[in-house]
Amino acid sequence: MAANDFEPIYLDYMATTPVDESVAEEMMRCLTIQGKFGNPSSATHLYGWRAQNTVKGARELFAASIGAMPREVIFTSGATEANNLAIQGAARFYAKKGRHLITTSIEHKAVLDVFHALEKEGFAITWVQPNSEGIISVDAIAAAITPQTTLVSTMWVNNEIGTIQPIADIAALTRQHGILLHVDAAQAMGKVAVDLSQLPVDLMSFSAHKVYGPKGSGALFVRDKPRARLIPLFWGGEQEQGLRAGTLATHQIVGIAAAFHRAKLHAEENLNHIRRLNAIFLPGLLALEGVTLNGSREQRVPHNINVCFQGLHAEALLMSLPQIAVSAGSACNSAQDEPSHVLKAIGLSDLQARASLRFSLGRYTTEADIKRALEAIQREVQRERDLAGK
Amino acid sequence: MYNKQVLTYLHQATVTSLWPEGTAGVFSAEVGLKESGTWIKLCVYIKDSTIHEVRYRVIGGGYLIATVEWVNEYLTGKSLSTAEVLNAKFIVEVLGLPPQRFYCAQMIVDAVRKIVRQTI
Ligand SMILES: Cc1ncc(COP(=O)(O)O)c(C=O)c1O
Repeated sequence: MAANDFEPIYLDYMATTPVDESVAEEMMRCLTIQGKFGNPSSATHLYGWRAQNTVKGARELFAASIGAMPREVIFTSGATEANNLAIQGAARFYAKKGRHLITTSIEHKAVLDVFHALEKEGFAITWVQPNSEGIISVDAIAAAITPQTTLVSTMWVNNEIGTIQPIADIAALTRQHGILLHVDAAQAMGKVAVDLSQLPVDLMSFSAHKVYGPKGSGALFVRDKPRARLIPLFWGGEQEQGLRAGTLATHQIVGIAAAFHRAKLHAEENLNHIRRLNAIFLPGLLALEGVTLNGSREQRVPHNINVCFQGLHAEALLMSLPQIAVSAGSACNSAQDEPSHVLKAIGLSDLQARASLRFSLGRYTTEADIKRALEAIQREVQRERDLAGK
Repeated sequence: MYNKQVLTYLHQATVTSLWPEGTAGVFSAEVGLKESGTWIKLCVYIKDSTIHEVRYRVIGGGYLIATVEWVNEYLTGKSLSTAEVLNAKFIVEVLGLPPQRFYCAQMIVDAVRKIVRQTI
């Protein structure tokens, strides 16, 4: 959606989403003197009780939206913190059992860098490679398991190429081996069905701002039966069962709960909307000369369209298309020159990776946006091909 | 992420057909490798030691496209002796190129020098 004719068309929903207005309204009600501003841990007065009740309600709503129990939810400042808590917390807690951990080479930085840090501490890490479609196979993970392995961490929906990993199969495998499984589901909510009552995953990270909730709000699911044990990242209070010290951010918790509740409630219609747009946009792009899709065509969320413009530089294309807001690779990489580690992992050359752009569609994208974007891209791709000559 | 000058020249870059092979007064030079995704072909029409027109082909990122478009504008109407003293540091300064894009300016300078050398 373009807010007006001068604003670029936003096609970067996998970087972040705007906050849903009703979510923002609910958050507002937790902030001011007229609202539920109290400290949820103040047990001695009405202000505290109100805030406590609000958090309790939000926790129940959030838990229900992911098929978990309220006591399995630890609210955090985002998926980055949830990933850190899960991976560092579990690796350290179970270090006496073993010091081998498994993850994949296509994770978000918020997982990759945690493992890099643990590697420096002396943990052994196996980085499982995806196939050329961007899918991690269960067999590849099975092959990496040793008697020392305590944790497997894999993402659900890839943030760069939108591929969906076979989480149910991986979960069955780790269960069978008695190994903990952590899943970074930051991009999963609202895009695939999330139901932890059916999925034997031990730890799962969530982020609010990918589903029309606020930035700086996330959660870690920590399974109760069997209990996944963690060492907290920091100390300073008994909040969140001692796993996440610090005054509870009532408005942020209300925000993520409302956003997740709405995502689940409207899952079907939102997904249909995105599928409709994708059915126009993807063929439109692939019809251009030298344009190919990165990652699996089937096993991916329709929100993500990552394409390679063979022979061109995505960065030049990006800057020549001020009427469209997209990113080359993930937002966290877009300030750097390094070609995307995900695209390289699925077999693209440096040149092909540098020729790739990620478009991501969302709730406010319209058919008119898509058509306008396609026209502009078509024009610009042609201009740059002409500039390059034969 | 790009500054205003770079964006202006990037948007300004337009395609003109190159002169036919062997056109009198036209000198050209190529720098870089097409296969590596960074390549320019600079062609200039020179008469009476003055550069009357510049045309080019470019494969590269936005910075390279902007730089070659800038040199098109800068050299048009200039004398060969002005072209001769063009240096990368100057280009980096006028366009505000980030340090890691110094090579864009250097490629242009290399092309211009190759051309100047052909004229003497
Ligand atoms: C797969 C994935 N993991 C983690 C994150 C980080 O989430 P947050 O911004 O909530 O810390 C993101 C988003 O940037 C992501 O796409």
